[in-house]
Amino acid sequence: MNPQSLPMPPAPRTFWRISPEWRQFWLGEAADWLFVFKTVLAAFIALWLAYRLEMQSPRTAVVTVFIVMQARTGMVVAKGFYRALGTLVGSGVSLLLVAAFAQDRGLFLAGLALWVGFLTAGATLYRNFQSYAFVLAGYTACIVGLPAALDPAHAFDIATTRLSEVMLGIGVASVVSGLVFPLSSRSLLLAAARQRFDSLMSATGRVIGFGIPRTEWGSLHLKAINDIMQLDSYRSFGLFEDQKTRAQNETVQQMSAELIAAASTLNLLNQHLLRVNRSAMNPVRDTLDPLLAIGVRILTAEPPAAPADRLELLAQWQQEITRQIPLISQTMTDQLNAKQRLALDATFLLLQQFLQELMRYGRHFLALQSAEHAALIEQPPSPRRPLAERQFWHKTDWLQPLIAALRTIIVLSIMSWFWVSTAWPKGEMALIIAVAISALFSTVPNPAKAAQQMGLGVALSIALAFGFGFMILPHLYGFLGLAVGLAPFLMLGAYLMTQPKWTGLGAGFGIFFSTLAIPGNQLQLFNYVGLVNNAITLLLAISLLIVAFFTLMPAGNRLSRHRMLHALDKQLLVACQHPLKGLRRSFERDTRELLRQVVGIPGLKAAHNTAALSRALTVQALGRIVIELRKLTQPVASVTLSEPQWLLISPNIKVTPKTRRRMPYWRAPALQGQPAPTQPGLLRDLPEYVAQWISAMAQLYQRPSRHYRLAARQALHQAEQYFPHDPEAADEPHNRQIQIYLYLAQNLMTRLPGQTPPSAPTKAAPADEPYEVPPDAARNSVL
Amino acid sequence: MPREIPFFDALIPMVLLILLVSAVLYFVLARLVEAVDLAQYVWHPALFRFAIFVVLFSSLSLWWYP
Repeated sequence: MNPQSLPMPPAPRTFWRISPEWRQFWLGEAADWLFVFKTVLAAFIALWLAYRLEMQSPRTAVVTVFIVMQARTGMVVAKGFYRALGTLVGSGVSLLLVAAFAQDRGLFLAGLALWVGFLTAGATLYRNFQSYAFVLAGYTACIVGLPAALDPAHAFDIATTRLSEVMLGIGVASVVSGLVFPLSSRSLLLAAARQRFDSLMSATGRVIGFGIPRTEWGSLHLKAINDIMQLDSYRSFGLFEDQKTRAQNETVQQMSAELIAAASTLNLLNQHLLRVNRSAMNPVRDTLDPLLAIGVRILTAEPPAAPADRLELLAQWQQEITRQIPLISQTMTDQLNAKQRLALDATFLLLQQFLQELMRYGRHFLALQSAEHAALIEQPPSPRRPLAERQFWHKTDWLQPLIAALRTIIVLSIMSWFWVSTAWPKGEMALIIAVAISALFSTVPNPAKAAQQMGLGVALSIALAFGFGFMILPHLYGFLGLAVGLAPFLMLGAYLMTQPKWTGLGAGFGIFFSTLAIPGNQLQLFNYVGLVNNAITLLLAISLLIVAFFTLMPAGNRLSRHRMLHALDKQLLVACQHPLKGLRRSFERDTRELLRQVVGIPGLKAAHNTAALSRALTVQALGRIVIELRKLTQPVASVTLSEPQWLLISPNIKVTPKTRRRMPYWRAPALQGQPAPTQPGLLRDLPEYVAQWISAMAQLYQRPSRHYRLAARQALHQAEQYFPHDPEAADEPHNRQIQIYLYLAQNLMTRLPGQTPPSAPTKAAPADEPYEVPPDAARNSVL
Repeated sequence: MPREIPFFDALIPMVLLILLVSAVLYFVLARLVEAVDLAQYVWHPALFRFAIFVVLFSSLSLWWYP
């Protein structure tokens, strides 16, 4: 990406003004060292303040600094905010627990387990730092609650101490990150938006040129999903950063929504054009080519024009298309057969819709890039989406949070049982650490691996803490000496955190080295035994955790894999059955989110991945078509929806998905008779045929089988057959649209579930396509 | 002036309350600064805002604990 062409707002008013080349350096390597420097600086300030304020364990403040510190100011403040929130809630609950169950350790531990499990489940339902707040509220209850329960008379003091130490760490980290060479996440946001714009443009150019093959489209699609999620994260960090980003919050959300809409239409368009490329459609292709060539020229020009100019050109092209369509249709009527005419009309319909959505997206994009374009949004009133449609929820299958919660509860129970039955003096610490890490890692895609890295970090920190504690610390005098002695170790931790490969190790090292090595406020003797005890405890806790993550429903286990894929399929039921209002947005968004999670499941083979991807693309395209058809045939659709048994349209299928769902599957009656054939003439109206097809699709996706697949195909066939009988009705624009969407659906009927896919997914995806979370997101998700 | 005030039998230091009050004041002031776009003339906006907060907090605390 060329940073010079970024239409930057007046110039970032940071106090170092640098040329773009330097900027690149600053954002790369220098940013890492800056991060190291800032982290260590913040750690020392926090440590000094904690000593000065005579806090009980100054190390908590340093640990907090290590946890909260991130590359960008907005991220630090966001994480700090949610950490403060979580700590506050957790401390409150721990006090409640102590007040209620101080006498009975069994009840107390049970209550703690429930609370932690509940919040771990909650954490998997959210994204980014919101999820972190949940986790934190859970395990802070542990950190504060356990010592408090052991010493109920001082419970309140323990809670306030913990709270003030954490707050001190957060405050110092935020201030240092905001004041010392601040790096704003706004530039990241702008760059990400720009990159997405460019790739959408080039993808569009290729689609209308030749079409993008399905496999390649899959990987492009995934990348787009990740980019959009990334964009949304940057937006949420920016909220904590500066006023400008806050003011544009809505613009970014709108932009993402419009982008998704445009991308989904592009998907349909791509599939359609691939079909048009076949030889039977040659006349159509010939007719379209001159018109499409204009667009290709605009979109693939080298070097690319500025976004504003490109959008201007595209707008002209859009007008041109609108002007040409009637002319082309008129001249071509006689030369094309019915199928070809349908294909031509379908292209026009999709193209026009796509361009409309693209222009809407473009306007928001420009408004984001510079304030002078902001007025553009107002020009044609593009409706503001309600909040619910703009937000990204972390949509997932309900089983996943449950698994996470159960695992944490089991870890907590094992640890407590061990503690209670052996009266291990360090049991409390082991319990705290096990629960904290188990909760933390339940939200990362591959917890076992993360825990392993953490374990390495713990081992390293133990070794170095020994070295520091007994070889270096005795020679140090005063705070300055301590700082000088600590600096290399803290720098090592911070540096490891900047390397995406070692993030977990770095975080583990930073946290546990600080815990083990930093002396408390009261003078402590150099305590070999204590350190060895702590080290053993840490190692035991972390090994138990690693074992738990590998054995108790490990990530990517069969059940959750199956459930996730099923959840993806179920999205089609959502498209068929949910109320139409705002359905398209939520459908597109949730399907994308689910797909991202499915692909992120560790241990999924490349072939499975490709299969899942192809399945998701089918669901997305079909769902979109179903929604459009439901909109077009709304009166019928809404009537049938308001009734409980909305599938009664088809007289032969009496079992509705709803009634079936209530029965165990082995008792659910099979369908009567042959696959949903209806006598022609029984259904008089086109919408009813369409509704019949939709209901057949819903049934198919509810219980994929050959039987339902045939039924769905037949229903579609019947709906399509409706048209030739009635040529006048077919030319009416409304009906024509229905016909076009049915035609598009026809294209996808070979990819329905319940059959072995036509091309078995043996052709593995190219090995060089790691579906990884981008590094920045990875850094945020750890701890 | 009291250094701590009881709140449900828990003694809360006044500094904490002062901190909260100055935080509220700070947010109001920061909004004002944003509204008039004062940041345009400021070399380091974050430092500027931090300084506002420090001034608010210290003057309130010095007034309470002379």
